[in-house]
Amino acid sequence: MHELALAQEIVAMVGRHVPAAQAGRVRAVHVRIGELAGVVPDSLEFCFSAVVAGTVWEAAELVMTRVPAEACCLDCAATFPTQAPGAGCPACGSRLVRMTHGQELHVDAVELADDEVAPSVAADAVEALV
Amino acid sequence: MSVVTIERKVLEKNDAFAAMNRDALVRQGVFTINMVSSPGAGKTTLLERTIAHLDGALTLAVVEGDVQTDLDAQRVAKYGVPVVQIVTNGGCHLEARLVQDALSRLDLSTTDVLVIENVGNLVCPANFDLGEDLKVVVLSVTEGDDKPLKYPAMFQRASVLIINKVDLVPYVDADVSAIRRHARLVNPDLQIFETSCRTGAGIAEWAEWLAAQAGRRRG
Repeated sequence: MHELALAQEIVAMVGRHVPAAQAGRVRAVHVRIGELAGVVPDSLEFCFSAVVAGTVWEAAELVMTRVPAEACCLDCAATFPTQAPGAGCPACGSRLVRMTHGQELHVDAVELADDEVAPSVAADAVEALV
Repeated sequence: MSVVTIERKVLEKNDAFAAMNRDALVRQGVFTINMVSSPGAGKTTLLERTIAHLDGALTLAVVEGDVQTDLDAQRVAKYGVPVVQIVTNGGCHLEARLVQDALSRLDLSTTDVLVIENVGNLVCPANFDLGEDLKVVVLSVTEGDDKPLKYPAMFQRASVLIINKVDLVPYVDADVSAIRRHARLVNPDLQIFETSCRTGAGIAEWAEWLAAQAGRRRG
């Protein structure tokens, strides 16, 4: 359910990096979502399209990269996929493991097309989102 | 086609507000917990028992987060504790900016412990730092011992697990040792308490642990 809040933050962040006048050129917003980030991809995609609909960002598509959960053993330095670090290191059995990936929630980049999609709303409406 | 690199955390704005909250709270010597659980796990009753136990020894303040109503704030206010209710109107979690507004309505200089009772939800609040010192996740025995495995993010980010309603264990075939085992599997560092607000079991141990953490903050 918090995917709506996340989608609004993603659009706001794009707005802080792309000048409003160029909003119509944004075609793709690349985000990185960890498996353990507590985010439902379909829900985030749905919320993103709802947030951009009828705004200067409406040509933008959300492109998600899922990051598998991974841990690193502090004793033998092995890295291994896991969702439960307490289960220990599969290589040496050590319980001293740390999650290294899986909780990511990042906006990586946006792709700008050379041509612009004429926005269906005035550019100053962007202010409300940013 | 060109690319603008951003590489920022989605929640950086929330995290910035959380950092401001944390700074203000720590500076004024307030120890802050963020209580999270699914709806009905017993957060408010546990809070009432905790307040009653610590009455006089520590000064508490409470921020209540709920989707609707100020019923919880009314319950807490009966104990004479300053309380601010945040109604999210459908929002499934508290955000740091909402808490910042609530803090401006409390006298932090006289507060030892601030309890933020989050919206009942075992998923969304895990992502939103509020500026607390630690998260306390409450799990009642009626919810099933598989919950730490099914909702790992919350248990990974919490520092304390309170297994509540232990008086019901004989009636619901709950396996407290399985809850502990599953919780430690996703977070080996969890500090675990077992409580019953009905019988009072475990309340003293938990409340005094909390008081000790706050005492360390005050020096």
